[in-house]
Amino acid sequence: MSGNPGNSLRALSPTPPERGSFPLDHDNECIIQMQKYLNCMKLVGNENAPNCRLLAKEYLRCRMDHKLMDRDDWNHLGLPRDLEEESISRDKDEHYFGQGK
Amino acid sequence: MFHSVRTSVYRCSSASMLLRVTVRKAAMRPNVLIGCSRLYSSKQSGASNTTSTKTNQPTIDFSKLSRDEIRKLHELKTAERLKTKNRSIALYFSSIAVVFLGLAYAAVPLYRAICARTGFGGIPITDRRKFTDDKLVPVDIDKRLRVSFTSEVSQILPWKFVPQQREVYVLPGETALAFYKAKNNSDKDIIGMATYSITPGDAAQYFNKIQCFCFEEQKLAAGEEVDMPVFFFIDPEFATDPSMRNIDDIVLHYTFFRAHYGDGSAVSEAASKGEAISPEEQQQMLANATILSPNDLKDE
Repeated sequence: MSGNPGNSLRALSPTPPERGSFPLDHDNECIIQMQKYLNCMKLVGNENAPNCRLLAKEYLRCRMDHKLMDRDDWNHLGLPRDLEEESISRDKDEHYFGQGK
Repeated sequence: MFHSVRTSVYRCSSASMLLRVTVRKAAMRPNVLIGCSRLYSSKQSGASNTTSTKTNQPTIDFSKLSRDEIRKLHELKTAERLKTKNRSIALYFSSIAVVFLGLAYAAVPLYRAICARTGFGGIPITDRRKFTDDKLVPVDIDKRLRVSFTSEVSQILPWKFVPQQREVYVLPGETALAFYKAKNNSDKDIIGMATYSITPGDAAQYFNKIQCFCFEEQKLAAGEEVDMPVFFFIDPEFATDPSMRNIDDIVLHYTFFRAHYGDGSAVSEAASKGEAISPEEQQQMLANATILSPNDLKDE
């Protein structure tokens, strides 16, 4: 049990996954991205390096494209945003806050 | 005359308490007052000072009242008192009844709210605050946490279920993706259900899964091989919890069990017969599926 006396029930109550369960990829549509990710992890020594996380992003993007996962923003998933999204948001910021400081 | 004065004094003192209450309700009982008023009008001419204490109130000459009339006045007074007391008591109890009726109606959403908050009765806590965007910012600590992956399969489930990587080194707040591979080695479609556990148990409160493949029925066709991902992160508060300072190794263990449909069929018999199941039927069957243990299969 955790050492915090006021919070002893916290460890007993597990939280379910936020999005529930992944639909199974029966047709192996995203197997290429998965293999790339696993090879990257082997190379890095399972360090969860940034470049491998980009490949993870590719895998999840493949899942979203094939309707095996609900679409969502990358920052909700803790992954770095796409470059196109970055430039779009930068343009939006400029529009709202004006050019220059 | 002396006798009459004495009796009048006696009657007045005994009935003096009646005066205050009954006089206030005098309007409701006019016949008593009328009967008494003549007593007072006759008294005023007299030199008696027994009833002169309360001159500013409408006075009743109790000296001339008969015993019956005094008794009637007494009953009247107690009846009035009882009436007000009964009414107030009735109001109190009816208000208590209304409060309990309201509590009965409010109990349903209250119970739901309490169960969702505390997870009482096995209701999973869907605490959205655990998955906000600010929780997904990696915390810079010296040594990365090692998350190992292990797997186990129930002995009556003819599947091969292994993790695709031995471990992942993550920072708290950093999302990570891990894969398990499952292969159905039998010649029938089988439904499996996975559960997981985290070791050490104290770290389980910080292990948040964004999406995985647990606690839901997964159907694998005969001979099918499929990859099952787990997308998770460790809560950033792990880094600041003093009881977690000695933990840098976490094991995620998945166990696959065999499940069956609600009508008892252990396999997708309709699929092996070649019948088409409608999606609603399939949903229904999957919703009723339960986990089997080796004892359940002894009868087969």
